[in-house]
Amino acid sequence: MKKIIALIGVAAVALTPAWSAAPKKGKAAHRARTEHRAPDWKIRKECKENPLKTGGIYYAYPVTRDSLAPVPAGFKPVYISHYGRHGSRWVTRGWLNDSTLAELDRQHAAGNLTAAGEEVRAIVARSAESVKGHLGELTRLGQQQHRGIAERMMNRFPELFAGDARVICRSSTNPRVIMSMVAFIDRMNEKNQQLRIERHASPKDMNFIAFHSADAKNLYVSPEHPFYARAAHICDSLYKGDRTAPKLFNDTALVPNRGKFMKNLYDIAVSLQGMPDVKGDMLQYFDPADGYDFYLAENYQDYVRQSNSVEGKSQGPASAQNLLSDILYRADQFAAGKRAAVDLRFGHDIFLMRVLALMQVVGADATAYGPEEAMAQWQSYNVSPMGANLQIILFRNDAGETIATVRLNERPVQVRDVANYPASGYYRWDDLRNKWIGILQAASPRGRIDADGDSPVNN
Amino acid sequence: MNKYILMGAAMLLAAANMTAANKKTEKTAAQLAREEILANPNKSGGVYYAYPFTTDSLVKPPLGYKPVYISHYGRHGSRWVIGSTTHSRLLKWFKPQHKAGNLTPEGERVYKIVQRSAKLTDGHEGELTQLGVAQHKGIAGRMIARFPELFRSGDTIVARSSTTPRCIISMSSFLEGLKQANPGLVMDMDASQKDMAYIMYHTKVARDLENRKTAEFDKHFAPLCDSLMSSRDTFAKLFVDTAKVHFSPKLMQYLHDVASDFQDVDYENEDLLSVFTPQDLVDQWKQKTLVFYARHAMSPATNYEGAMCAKSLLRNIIDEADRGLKSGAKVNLRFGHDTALIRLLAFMGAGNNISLRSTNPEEICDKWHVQDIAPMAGNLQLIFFRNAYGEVLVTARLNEQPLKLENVSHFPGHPYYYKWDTLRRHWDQLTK
Repeated sequence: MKKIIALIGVAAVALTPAWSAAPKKGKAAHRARTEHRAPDWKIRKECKENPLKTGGIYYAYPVTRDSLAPVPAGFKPVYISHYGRHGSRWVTRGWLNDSTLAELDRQHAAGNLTAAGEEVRAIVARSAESVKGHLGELTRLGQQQHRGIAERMMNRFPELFAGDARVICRSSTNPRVIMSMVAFIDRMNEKNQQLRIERHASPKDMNFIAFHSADAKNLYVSPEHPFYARAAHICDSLYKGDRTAPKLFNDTALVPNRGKFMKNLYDIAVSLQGMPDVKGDMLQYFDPADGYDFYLAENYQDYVRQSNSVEGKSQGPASAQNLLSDILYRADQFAAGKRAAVDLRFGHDIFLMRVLALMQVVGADATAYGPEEAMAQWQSYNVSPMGANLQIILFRNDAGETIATVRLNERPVQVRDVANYPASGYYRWDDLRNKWIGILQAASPRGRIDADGDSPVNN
Repeated sequence: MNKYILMGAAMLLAAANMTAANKKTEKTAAQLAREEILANPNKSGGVYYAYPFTTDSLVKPPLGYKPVYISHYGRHGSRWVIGSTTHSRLLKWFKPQHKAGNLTPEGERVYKIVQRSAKLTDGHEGELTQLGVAQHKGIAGRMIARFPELFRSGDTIVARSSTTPRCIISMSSFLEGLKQANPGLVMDMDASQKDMAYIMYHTKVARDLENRKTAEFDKHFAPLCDSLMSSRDTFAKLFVDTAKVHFSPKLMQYLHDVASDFQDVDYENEDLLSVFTPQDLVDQWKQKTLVFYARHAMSPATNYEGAMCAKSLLRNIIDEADRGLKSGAKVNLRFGHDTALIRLLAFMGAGNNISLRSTNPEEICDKWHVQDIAPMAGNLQLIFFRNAYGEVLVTARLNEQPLKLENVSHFPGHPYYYKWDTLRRHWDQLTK
C-alpha cells in the first residue's frame, strides 16, 4: 500500500448514545459533552483561513484524493454501499437573491453604498441573474464533483467495477439528485462500457433515501416546538454583521432590518462557491468574525435538527432508521448472493447527517448543547459539504472472513465502540452489523419506522 | 453507402400494392384502423403503446451531402401509470361488488389482476420502467451507428431534459447508449426549469383544454368521448347484476389505461386488454385518439390551442440549428413528453396526416393515429446534411422512420429532403 493514512480521530469521545431514553444528567453529562471539544479559537482559525467553510452545507466538496487504511493482507473488496449527497447547487430560496438585490438597489439610489458596497451589489446582481430558472438545481461544478467521486471509487476498487459487473443506483426523485446520479453514471460509462448499470428515481425509495419522521419534521416547522423560539433567539443574537456593515454602507442605520439583511447577503456570498460561472469573491468583504457568527447559528440549527442534539432529542438520527435498515438489508442480500456488489444511493444532506449520527460515526455523532458546544464537536462543512458521501466497503479473504471499513467523504472514519479487526481502520463485518442492528432494535423494536416490504422491482 | 436503405421506390411500390389491395376488398380507412387495433390490442393504448421499433431507416441523401448536425426531441420511454388514483378508484369500485358476490368469474379475474397491478405499481407512479431505459439506449445506439460522423471522440453532446424524473432517467439511458458506443464523447447535460420554456411549454388555455375546462372541447368532443370510453358490453361481462353497480365511463377508461400500461411495466405478464370486447377496444382507442387530437394537434374545433404551444420549441430548434451549423456543434438532444412532441409535429407541418385539420371525428380516427405519432419513447429527429458548396439539406425522421414535411417543396428528385433555407424561412414565419 502506497498510501498510509492517518485515520481521522477528531472528537473521539464516549458520548451519550443516540437511542438511549434520555441524555445523561448533571455533571457527568456536562463532562461528556464538553471535555473533548475543540477549542473555540481552533475552529475560528480554520474558518478564517478558509471562509468557504463557513458556508457549512454550501461548502463545495473539497476532496480530490481519496484515502483508505491499508487493506489487511489477503482481503479483497467484495461489496460497496454508498449514500451520496447531491453536488453543488444553486440556492433553493427564490426570494434570496432578488430581495437582497432590491435592497442594495434602494441603498444605491439613496447614495448609501460605499465603493465596496457597490462592488458587492454588482456581484449580487450577477448572482441573481445566474439563479434565474435554476433554483435548487445542480450546477456544472456539482456534476464534476460526482464524476470525481465515481472516478476515485472505480480506481480504488477496480474489482467491483470489472467486466459486466452490475451496479444498482437509486436516487431521490429531486432533479438535482438525479442529475448527480446521472453525472456519476456518465463517468462510470466512460471507464467501463460493459457495466450493467441500473438506475432508479422512484417515489417508493424516498421511504429510505429521504425519510422524515413527524418528530424530525417538527424541528423545522412547528412553532410549538421549544427549539423554534430558541433558534429564533440565537439567530437574533448572532445575525448582526456589525463589523462588516460599515464597510458597505455610509450610514448603517439606513439599512432596514440590518442583521437579517447582512445574513442574507452572507448566504449569497457562501453560495457563490457552487456557481463558479459567477465572477467575483464576495466573501472578501466580510469581517471573518461576522462570518463566523453567521455560521455559528447555521451550524447550530443543522446540528439540532440532524444530529444527536440534546435540544433536538436526537429526533433527526432516529428518523434515519429506514436508511440504516436499507443499508443493512441490502448488504445482507449481497451476502446471501442475491444482489450486485455495488449499491449506490443519491440523496440529501439532511439524511446523510442523520444516518451518520445514528450509526455513531465518530466526528458526526457528538452530543452537545447550545451553539458553541455544537460547533466545537460537529461542523457541517466536515460532515456534509456539497457532494458529501458515506461509503461502507466489505472485504473478504480466502478463509471466508468478512471485514468492513467506513469512509466519510472518501476518508476513513471510525465507528464508536467497535474494535478494529484485523487492522486499524477495519472491523469484523459481523461486529459492525450487530452494533447497527442493536441501535435499530433499541430505537424501534418493530424495525423500520414505516415498514415496507420490497417489491420485486425494488430488488 | 449501402447502409442507407433505398426507400423511395420501395415505398411507392408498397403504397401502390396497398391501394390495389384495398380496392379489391373495398376496405375503408376505418376498417383498416379497426383491423390494425384488433391485430395488436396494445395499439389501443395510444400514447401507452410501447416503442415498437428495433431498426431505423433513412432515405439516401443526394450525392455529395454528408450529415453535419442532428436535432432531436424524444419522449420519455415506457413508464408506470401516472397518479395513484387510477388503481385505487378501480379497486374502490370493484371491492363492494366482490364482497356482495356480484362479480362474474371474469369480473373476479379482472379484480384480482387490478389488485396485483395496484400493489406492483404502488410507489412507482409515473416512473420510467426498465423497458423505457432499454428503448432509449436502443434509439441512441442506432443513432450513433447511423451517423458516426456526428459522434466523434471529443465531441460535445448537448442534452437537455424536462425536470420530470422519468425524462431525466430517459436522458441518462440515452447518453449511456451513446457512451457505450463511444466513451470519448463529452456530455453537456442538464435538467433545468429554465429549459422547460421550450421542452414542455403550456399556455393557460392549453392547460384548461387538458383539464376539459373549455367550452370548445365540451361542444365538439366531450359527449362523443364519454360514449366511446363507456365500454358497456365489457362492463356487462364483469358484473352479475349490472343494475346494482354505479356505472361510470371514466372507470372503464381507467381499466383500459391500466390494461394498456401492462405492455410498459416490469414484471407484468397478464393480458388485461383481452377483457375488452373488440368494439369496446376500438372505441377506447378512438376516445384516446380524439382527446389527444383535440388537445394537442391542429384541431380547428379547439382553435389549435395545443399545437400553438409548440412555438417556443420550434424556435429553439431553429436557433440551435443556426448555432450548430455555424459553430460546428453537431448534436442537440431534448428529452420531454408526448404532448410536446405531438404539438411540435402538428405545428411544424409533419406529413402522414399528423398536421391534419379536421372537425370530423371519423376522419380524425381514420387518419390521425396517436400510437404511431407518440408511442412511449416516440421521437423526432431532424438531420442536417451539407455538401462541398456549403448547401444544407434537412431530412426528418419520426420514430426513426422517414417523415415528409408539408407546406414546403422537397429538394428536386429527393422527396424526403428539404433545403434548410426554405424550411427555415417557413418555420421562422410560423414562430412569429
